[in-house]
Amino acid sequence: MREIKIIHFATYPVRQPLHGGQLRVAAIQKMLTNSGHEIIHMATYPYFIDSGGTSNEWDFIIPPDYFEWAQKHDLRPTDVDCSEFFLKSKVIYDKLVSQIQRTKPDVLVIEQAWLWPVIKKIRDENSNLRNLPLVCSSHNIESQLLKMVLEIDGVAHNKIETIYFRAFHLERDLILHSDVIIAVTEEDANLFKQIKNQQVYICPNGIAQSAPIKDFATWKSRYNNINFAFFIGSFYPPNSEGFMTMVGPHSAYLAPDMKVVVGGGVSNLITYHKDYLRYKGLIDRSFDLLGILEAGHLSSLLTLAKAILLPITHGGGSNLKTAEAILTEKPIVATSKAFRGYEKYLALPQIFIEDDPYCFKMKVQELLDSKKTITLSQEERALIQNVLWENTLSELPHIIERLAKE
Amino acid sequence: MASQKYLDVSTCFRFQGKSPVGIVRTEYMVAKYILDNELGDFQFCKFDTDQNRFLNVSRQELERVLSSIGTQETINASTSESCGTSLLSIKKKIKSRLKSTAKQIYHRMPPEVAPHFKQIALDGIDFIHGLKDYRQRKKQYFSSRKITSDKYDADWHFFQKDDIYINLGLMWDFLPVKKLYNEKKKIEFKVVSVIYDLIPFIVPEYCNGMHHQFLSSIVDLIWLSNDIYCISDHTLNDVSQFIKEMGMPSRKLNRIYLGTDIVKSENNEEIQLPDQFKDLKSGNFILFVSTIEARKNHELVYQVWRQLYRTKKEHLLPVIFVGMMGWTVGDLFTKIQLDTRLFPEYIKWGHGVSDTTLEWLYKNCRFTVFPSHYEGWGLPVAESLSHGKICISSNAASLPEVGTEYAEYINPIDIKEWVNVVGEYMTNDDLLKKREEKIRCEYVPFLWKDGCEKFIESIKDIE
Repeated sequence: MREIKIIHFATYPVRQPLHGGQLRVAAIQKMLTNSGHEIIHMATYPYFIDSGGTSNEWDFIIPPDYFEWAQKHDLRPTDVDCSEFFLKSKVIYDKLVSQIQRTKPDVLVIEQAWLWPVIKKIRDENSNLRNLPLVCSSHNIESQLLKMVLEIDGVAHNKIETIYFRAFHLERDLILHSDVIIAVTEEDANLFKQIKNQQVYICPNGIAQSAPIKDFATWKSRYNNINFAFFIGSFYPPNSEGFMTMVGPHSAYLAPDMKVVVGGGVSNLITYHKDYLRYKGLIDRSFDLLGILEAGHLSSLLTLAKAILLPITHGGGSNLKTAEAILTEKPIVATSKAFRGYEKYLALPQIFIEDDPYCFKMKVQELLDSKKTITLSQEERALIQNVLWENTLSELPHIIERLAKE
Repeated sequence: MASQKYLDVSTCFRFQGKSPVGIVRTEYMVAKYILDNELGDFQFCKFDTDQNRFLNVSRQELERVLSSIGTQETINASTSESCGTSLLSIKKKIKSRLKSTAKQIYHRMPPEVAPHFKQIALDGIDFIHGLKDYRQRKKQYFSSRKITSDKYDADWHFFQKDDIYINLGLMWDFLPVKKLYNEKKKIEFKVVSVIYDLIPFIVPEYCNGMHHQFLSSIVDLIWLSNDIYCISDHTLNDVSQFIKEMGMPSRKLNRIYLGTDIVKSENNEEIQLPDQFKDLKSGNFILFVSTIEARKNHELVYQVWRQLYRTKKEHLLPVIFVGMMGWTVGDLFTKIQLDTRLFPEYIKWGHGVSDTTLEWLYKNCRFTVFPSHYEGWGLPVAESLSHGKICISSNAASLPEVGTEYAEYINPIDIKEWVNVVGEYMTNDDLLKKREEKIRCEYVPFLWKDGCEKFIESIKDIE
């Protein structure tokens, strides 16, 4: 098989992947690179986002003046309107076109739809690029997710509707023009098929092997005599909303020797939640909001935790943290939404699905109080290995290769 | 070895030289009852915060401590453990010295200045707490050096299996409840405690900044306790509902009955009243005894007196606020001081009032008022009735349980009704006499002796 040259368009850098989107894109690129193909990662993102290393000509960083101007004009430069950054400036637009022309790609992959308007224009205006195979790589039904995030943020209804329709049309148009669509769940795939019933593949989310543990003894001594459940989530409103609904808003149901430890950017977000001030004392009592953690510390906490929590109440797509939790083989308390895309693991004995907030809390309490351990069979342990990226994305190189061949 | 019953008397140790009010009085009375009745199956203990462990307290030592409560004389605990020169105890001494100096300044101030001083001091404390909180948070979020070990690692081994540990005091002030819970889980001794109210949960708007911490301690206390005693039926219902609502395992809830009997002075000599009360005449003033804080509803009393000043000025009698200055009343007091129609002629305030003066005020007032928004019990209503005086009380929470049919009840936000009833009792001598007569003939204060006996009896059921 000859080497395929792919330009991968996204709205974030992936040199040091942290959030779910970055992790998936990094895993896709690693899989394709390991299959012998060349990947060029094009990213556009605002100046305040850490590029994660030395940026290159494919990093189209949105400067402060444009960012402020866009916000002042009610544009959303990080999602729905990110193409405007290129369309409003001939210099930036021409630079992108010339780089694409110079690269001579075989396949274009658009991650999460937002850059479609500019790619569409480039394809329309450059006949040699017009027929290049186009892949839409989706993480979610973005328009629905964006609507939900805006609702959580308390944005005015008419404004939400305007943004939602712009996102919906953009996403729909990309699907109509794509040769291949990659979805993360069957639910998302079925929705895409309703728009265009061809070439929709499912590549579920996965997880890499955990990083080696770090400072284990120190964490162990910190949580000496404490049974804790662990929740990790990024600085993303649905994460704090899900946590406060299913695990919070208070910790009174946890005995004094129990805790819920929270890692990741969601820790900060919880302190901005509408219920935080009311229940501050009962949140501080038994919820340890640790903030962003190094991968090694995360591994230590996952090892020490008695249970892992996946209180996902909003959003589409599938949750990378679910794969991470499954891989630990620890008891998991989750909502059914958290297991979207991971349905085949639901029969595992350590997985407990609770969609009612009270039942969720009671299950956490029960697991933290329990002295029983759950033993997994050989078959169950083998099934768990399927959550690794190398297994969830194993079909992807073949899909791209077939497309390039056509 | 047979199981033991331990009464924790730490709160009494901490209140030597002070008046045994509220929670302190409950612990004090039960301890005194056990000593007076020589109940040999009870032991006494206290928690030493410097050494982070429980210590036995001998009966002689406890007798000394109890006799010092309510007197100005502070008895040194006289044990070597409390005389240590650890950094913690030095810090404590400095803190206590600063506190007492602030109190001295406060009590020497004229009443019109004192509230401002207190507000400034409280704001300062809030600021320092806020700063501490910020520093703690900053450390937590931004430093990987945040990982610290639990400082309470060593086991106490003080209680044995099936022992009963009884704590009726201010547990949240000093006791590492989480550690006690772990020890209890391992050793399987029993814990009995009292919840005096759930005010920080039910009416947080009337609390100071410490209510978050208090609420967290109450939750730990519920988890820790096998049996919980509540000081009124209303509080018992609050606690029962709270446990259910919060998803905590159910607990055995019982009543503890506080005494409403008061020790009346036999001294009939004329007393020296403080300057601000010198012109008070027997039967010609209204009394409001309570800490001065928003929950107690001094605002309503001010509004009632404003109305009565307009409509019944010729019959208007002064109201006397007796109590320590609390929180979130700075603006109200500024307002009152600016209202020179009422202040200081018709609204007076006494702080640091001695027991003798208070007794004189109770005996000589026309009636009392107590318009509180929420209470766990409501001692001032009982005290008023014990002195043969009718109390016009709020009908909120537990208050109707305290005054039963002997007090007059009004919704604490119904100003119009308060104006009518207070106005009526100010002018209608026949009505007042009739109500006082009923109290005199029928009202029987509940005795501490009986309350303690009931409590001790119920402990036997736990065994």
